[in-house]
Amino acid sequence: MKARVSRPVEPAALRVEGLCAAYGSIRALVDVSFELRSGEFAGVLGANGAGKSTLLKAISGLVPPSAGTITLGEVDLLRLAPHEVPGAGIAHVPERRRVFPSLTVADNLALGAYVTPAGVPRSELLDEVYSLFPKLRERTGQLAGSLSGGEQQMLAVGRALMLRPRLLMLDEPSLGLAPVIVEEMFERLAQIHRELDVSILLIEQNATQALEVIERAIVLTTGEVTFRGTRAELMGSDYLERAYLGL
Amino acid sequence: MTSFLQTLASGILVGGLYGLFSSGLTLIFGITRVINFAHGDFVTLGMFGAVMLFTSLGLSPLLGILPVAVMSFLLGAIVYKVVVRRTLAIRGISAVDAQHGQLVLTLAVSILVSNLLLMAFGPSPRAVQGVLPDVYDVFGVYIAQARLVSFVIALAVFLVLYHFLQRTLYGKAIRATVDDRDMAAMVGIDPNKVYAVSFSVGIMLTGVAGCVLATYYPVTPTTGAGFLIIAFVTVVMGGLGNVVGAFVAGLLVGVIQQLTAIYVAVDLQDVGLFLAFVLVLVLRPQGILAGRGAHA
Ligand SMILES: Nc1ncnc2c1ncn2[C@@H]1O[C@H](COP(=O)(O)OP(=O)(O)O)[C@@H](O)[C@H]1O
Ligand SMILES: [Mg+2]
Repeated sequence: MKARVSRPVEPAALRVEGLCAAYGSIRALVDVSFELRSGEFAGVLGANGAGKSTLLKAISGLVPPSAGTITLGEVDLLRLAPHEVPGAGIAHVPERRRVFPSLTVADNLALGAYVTPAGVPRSELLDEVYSLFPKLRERTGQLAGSLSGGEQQMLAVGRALMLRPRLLMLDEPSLGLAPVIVEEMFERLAQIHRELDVSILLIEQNATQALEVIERAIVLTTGEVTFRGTRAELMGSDYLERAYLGL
Repeated sequence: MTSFLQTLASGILVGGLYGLFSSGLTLIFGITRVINFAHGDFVTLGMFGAVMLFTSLGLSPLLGILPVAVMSFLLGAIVYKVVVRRTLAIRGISAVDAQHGQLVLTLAVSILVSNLLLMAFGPSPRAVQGVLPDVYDVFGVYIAQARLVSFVIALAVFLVLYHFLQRTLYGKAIRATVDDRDMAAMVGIDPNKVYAVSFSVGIMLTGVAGCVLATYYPVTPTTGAGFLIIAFVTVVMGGLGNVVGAFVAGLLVGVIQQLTAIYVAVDLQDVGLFLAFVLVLVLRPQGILAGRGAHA
């Protein structure tokens, strides 16, 4: 894999300030603020319906926020159309993977590099993905829709890495997968964080699993940030229980 | 026997053109979900394009394909931008309401085009005369050069389309957009551009089909109405959105029409077609190639 490239000092890779979003009368995000530093592995934890996916969708431009700002480095993400967000260096692995089912594994990966800068050789990216997920190499010609859930998740992550993103956003990559596969997936995520120059924002309901890999986290409770801190702080508190039990 | 083979050959040769303009319709529907009621009129426009280029510049329809393709593509892009996109861009209305809008608006385009042609050229048929005049005798089956060449061109253009959709990165981006529009945007594909390109390419194929059809088929401003019906039947037979299905069904439709015309009555050729259509709907409602072939 590529050695880390040093970039100019970036205090905050991603900065979200005062973000509010709603679906009609349902308030999904209420005044959410947080920062993700360059190269950091952070988590967004919270119960089902807390607004975690909405937060990622707002960053990707798929849900227009009613207030607040989102910036990546110097780029105002709210000015971008959804299809321009990957060009800013953000790869989004959405909930339930959403591979392109009628396309082959190879074609899914090729489309992952749809807006990757021309200078980055696709073959190198492909080798990177295949060495992380050797299973995918055996399946290149197979339709993505015919893969198992675990393989589809690998493909979804692999497709995101083909962008060579600055920020990788993962929405519940453990959802619906067998425990062994989840274990394997989280090892790969830790490896991606170690070996690639990328900030990671991981969404999880499964907090125990997430706490094995993340460095910092925020906890969302019905759309509001109810906790922010390091992994150690989170493990030493009862915030998670409160967030999940809705107390 | 010879007469049967003769009928079969004529059916297949004209069917290739049906297949080509129907693959344009199914491409548009498969990707944008727009049912284009003006589709037949773009066949007519392609035919008039060929006739005009021939009568004013002496350009053979075979060379006319290029300008007609470019013009049809641009026309498709304009119709998409001015008319179709508006029906897709409205937020908060149901798909059914959007389709009502599309029905009325594409029908309006159809009426506009056929009446403008009527104003400009009048109602009498026009034709390209004396191009590809030979007739080949293949073991007793007579094959007109114009029909043969048109068929070969239709097949070639269709194969280029198929290759574009299956093998090129943009073709893959189009298919990904059909699979999951928002996910396509999340890898950087602009869905609006995909829609515009698909619509324009669909109209381009249709114009080209009209252009080569003009080598042996006279055109009037209302010729397209019949082709619209044929295209609808063909697209449903082939499975909605299935471009390979549409081309194969086009051949089938051509053959059925010819068989009915020869063995039953010329006036009933469309009755045979609808009979086959109903049979397909009853027996294979997903289309003759259900589960196979490339869905756009
Ligand atoms: N498309 C939608 N339309 C209406 N309400 C939605 C939609 N998506 C999510 N919601 C609601 O918004 C809230 C937050 O949802 P979501 O962001 O998906 O939560 P999480 O990912 O944390 O489970 C929930 O109350 C959910 O029901
Ligand atoms: Mg969610």
